[in-house]
Amino acid sequence: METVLLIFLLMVNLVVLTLVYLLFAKSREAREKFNLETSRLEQGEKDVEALQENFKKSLEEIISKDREMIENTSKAIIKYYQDTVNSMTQSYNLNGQKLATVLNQDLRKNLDVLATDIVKQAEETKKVFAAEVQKNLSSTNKRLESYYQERLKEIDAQIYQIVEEAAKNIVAKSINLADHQELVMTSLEQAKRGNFFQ
Amino acid sequence: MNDKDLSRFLQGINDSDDLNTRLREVSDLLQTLRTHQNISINDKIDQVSKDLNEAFKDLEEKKALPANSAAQTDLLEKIINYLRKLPLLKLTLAFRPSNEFISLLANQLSALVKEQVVLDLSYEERIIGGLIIEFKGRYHDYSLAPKLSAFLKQKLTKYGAPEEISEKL
Repeated sequence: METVLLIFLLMVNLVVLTLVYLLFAKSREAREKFNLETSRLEQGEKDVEALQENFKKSLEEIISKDREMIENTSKAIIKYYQDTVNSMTQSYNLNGQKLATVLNQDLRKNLDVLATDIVKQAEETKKVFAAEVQKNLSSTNKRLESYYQERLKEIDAQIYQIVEEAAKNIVAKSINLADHQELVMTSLEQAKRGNFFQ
Repeated sequence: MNDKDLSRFLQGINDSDDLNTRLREVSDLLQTLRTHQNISINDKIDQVSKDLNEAFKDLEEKKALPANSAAQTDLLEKIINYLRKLPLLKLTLAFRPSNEFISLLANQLSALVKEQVVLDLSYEERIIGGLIIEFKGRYHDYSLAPKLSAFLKQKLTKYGAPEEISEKL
């Protein structure tokens, strides 16, 4: 019985061992396949890197060429404009000098004429102004004289008015009650003689 | 009752102040008689002014003072109307006269115009002396002011004042 059991266990072990071996074999096959795929991928990556490197180089070359071309073109344009400006400046300066010469001559002529005119006009204005001042002075003197005479008359009138007021005050204060009554009776007598009551 | 009888009530009236006092007194008496019908002039005769008292007593002595209340009221109304119709003579003086002088003036002027007048007096120092008189639409300046002005004008012209200045005086 023990033998049978041992045999049975041995057989079971053999089966298990067989299974382990089968699993191992399967596993090695899968690893090999994995390694193969991995090496393929690595190769692909390398190819891609090479392609990228090539593309980068080509692009840099293109950019370099374009930059050179742009720089050249820009320089050419700047040079063209500088030349044009220089040419225009020279032309302008030349014409300007000519114009300035002509203008200077005309200006001098005109200034001479203008100066003569101004002097003439100033003299005329001076004459007119002097005449006007003389006229106004004469008129002002007349008005002052008139005003002076009027003020004198007013002052005279005020003085005579003061004299009159003073005289009246003196007379009024010198009349006593009896004199007042007598003056009233005299006035009544005058009124009677003058037929005031008839 | 005629104006001659009523003229007794003018006693003591010389100027407009006297006239107003007398009118107020008679009007008050009239008002009392109208308010209290049992009161007569005789009851109040001792409470009125001396001149008015004498006037009523004079009427009483002449038996001219009515006895009944209604007739007395009529008498007082007649007196008031008579006083209100008195002519005013306006006098401007340079001083304030005494009552005696006012009375003298009133008598003299009433004699001159031949009717009883009441003086309406005013005072202005500017007229210096004399008087200005106004009566029944007539006016005359008998004061010293225009005479003194004329005198001053003459003198000032003589001493060289321009004509137009002395004209203003």
